[in-house]
Amino acid sequence: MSAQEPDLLTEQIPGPRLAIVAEALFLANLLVAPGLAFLVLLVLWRRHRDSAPLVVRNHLRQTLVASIYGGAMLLGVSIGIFMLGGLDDPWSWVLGILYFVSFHATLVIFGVVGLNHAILGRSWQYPFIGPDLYE
Amino acid sequence: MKYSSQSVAMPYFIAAIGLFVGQIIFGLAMGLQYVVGDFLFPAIPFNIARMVHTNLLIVWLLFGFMGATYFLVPEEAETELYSPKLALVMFWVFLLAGAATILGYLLVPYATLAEMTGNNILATMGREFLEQPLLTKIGIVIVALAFLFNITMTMLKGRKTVISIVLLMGLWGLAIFFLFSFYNPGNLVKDKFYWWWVVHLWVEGVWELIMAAILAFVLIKVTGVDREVIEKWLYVIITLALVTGLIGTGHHYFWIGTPAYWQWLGSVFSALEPIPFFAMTVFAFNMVNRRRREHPNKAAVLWALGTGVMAFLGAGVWGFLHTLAPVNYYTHGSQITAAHGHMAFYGAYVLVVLTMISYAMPLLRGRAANDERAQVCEMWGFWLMTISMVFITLFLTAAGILQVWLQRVSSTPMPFMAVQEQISLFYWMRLWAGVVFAAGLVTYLASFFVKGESKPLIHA
Repeated sequence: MSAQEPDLLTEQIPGPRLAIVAEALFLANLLVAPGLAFLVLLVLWRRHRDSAPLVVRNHLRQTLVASIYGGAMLLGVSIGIFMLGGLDDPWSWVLGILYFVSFHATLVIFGVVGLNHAILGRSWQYPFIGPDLYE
Repeated sequence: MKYSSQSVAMPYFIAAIGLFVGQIIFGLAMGLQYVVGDFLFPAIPFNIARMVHTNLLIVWLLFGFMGATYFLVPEEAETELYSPKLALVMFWVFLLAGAATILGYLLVPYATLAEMTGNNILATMGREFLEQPLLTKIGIVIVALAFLFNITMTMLKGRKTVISIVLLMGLWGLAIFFLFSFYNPGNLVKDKFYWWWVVHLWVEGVWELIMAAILAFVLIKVTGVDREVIEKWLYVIITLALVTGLIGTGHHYFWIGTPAYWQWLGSVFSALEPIPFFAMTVFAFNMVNRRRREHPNKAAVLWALGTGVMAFLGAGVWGFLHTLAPVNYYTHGSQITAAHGHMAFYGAYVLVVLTMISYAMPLLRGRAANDERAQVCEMWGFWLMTISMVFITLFLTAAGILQVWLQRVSSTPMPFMAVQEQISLFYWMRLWAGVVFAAGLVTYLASFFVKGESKPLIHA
């Protein structure tokens, strides 16, 4: 192990703080502060997108794009189900709630994996909705 | 296996798996009774099948927890078990009492069973999950006290680690809160109030401590991550579990006659209850991603990761789905509750016991890990059971949403049984998912009998 490489077996949080914050904001946008957390993430991305180390830039970009695409798919399809089926049709609620809960939970699990990679100082690409990684 | 007395875990694990099979058989029978109402009637009516299904779940999980403890504590305390003989005697007492109770449910009318077992002296029967006769409840207390004595004495003479202390706290809590099953006030509201002190404070309180400790133990073993790193996570998780879970009991106090402030307390604190499960998911992934080399027991790693994810989904996400009072006003006691119950129990407690069994069983059989083919078979079992449980949950959720709409939201609400007819399609789909689950369980069982080259045990 070189001097620069963190010892993952003993260090609590070896990854860069900004990458961890980016992933935490992705999760916060889904769980506790939708919209607000995304705005903070957007500001961080604008401020650090060119200057931060590669791993941090990857996490900022991944979380930002995944938030936009994920959010659009989450809300877009849910709204679409209710618009097509109508609020008075129970099947709209069956499909709408099932879709929203399942897709939302999937995004959260993606976020957990992303957060772990950030904590360990590794880059990670969100499946399906994440852009290519910076090499 | 480092200490010979750890071997007492083996019969506990075997009994746990055997009772798990029984639970699934009764689950399938009930799944069929949902759509073919007179199936097995009058031999095994729905209410009896349900009681056996849920009681077997509780008993086999308790066997699993005890087996896990007997395996874990000597290794953590770095000493032999205080009394392996006592552990084996208590195993047989618990198994025979459990078997007699289940046979009692199946062979004797419940009212007669109550008369035969002293329910007129102290009435404790007839309440969901706590249906056990008085004698069985007393037996459970005796077994629990002997078990706790054995474990506490072992810990007192050996090394005290965070993992074993958290585990012991959880186990003592389990025993103490069970005592409320003997309190059965005549006032129905008070009865329900304290009934939840057993049921909720077990599964959303002290059992989470047991779960986190077992998971932490296995993760240390399969990842090699420093104990200090894992212990810090454990502190955070159990703090979150207790802070949110204790007052979170309030989400059971909606609409049952308790004061209205419980709607606020229950909503706020139980909305926070997914946080410890979320932390456990991060914890499991984080530790597994830190390891520098593959542990030969890949199946145990898979069960551990599965515990993190499924506990978060079942207990966290599906719990939150119906925990806020304004939502629960409509969903209370519907199939949405059943959906949550199935995935939460499977994700949090079934999987953590199977994680421990997966890790410990090869060691108890004298090898570091099973043969590659046996592990592949075991992992097939994991995926079949887990994916089918996801579908069982989705189908029950769909049934629940439709049920709530037709029965409680619609301007022309339908009666309960008429609604059951309307949602039978989802019950059929749930039944088929249950059949796949049973196939997964058979695959899992088969993995124990796959022979081949096993990884030898390396003694340090």
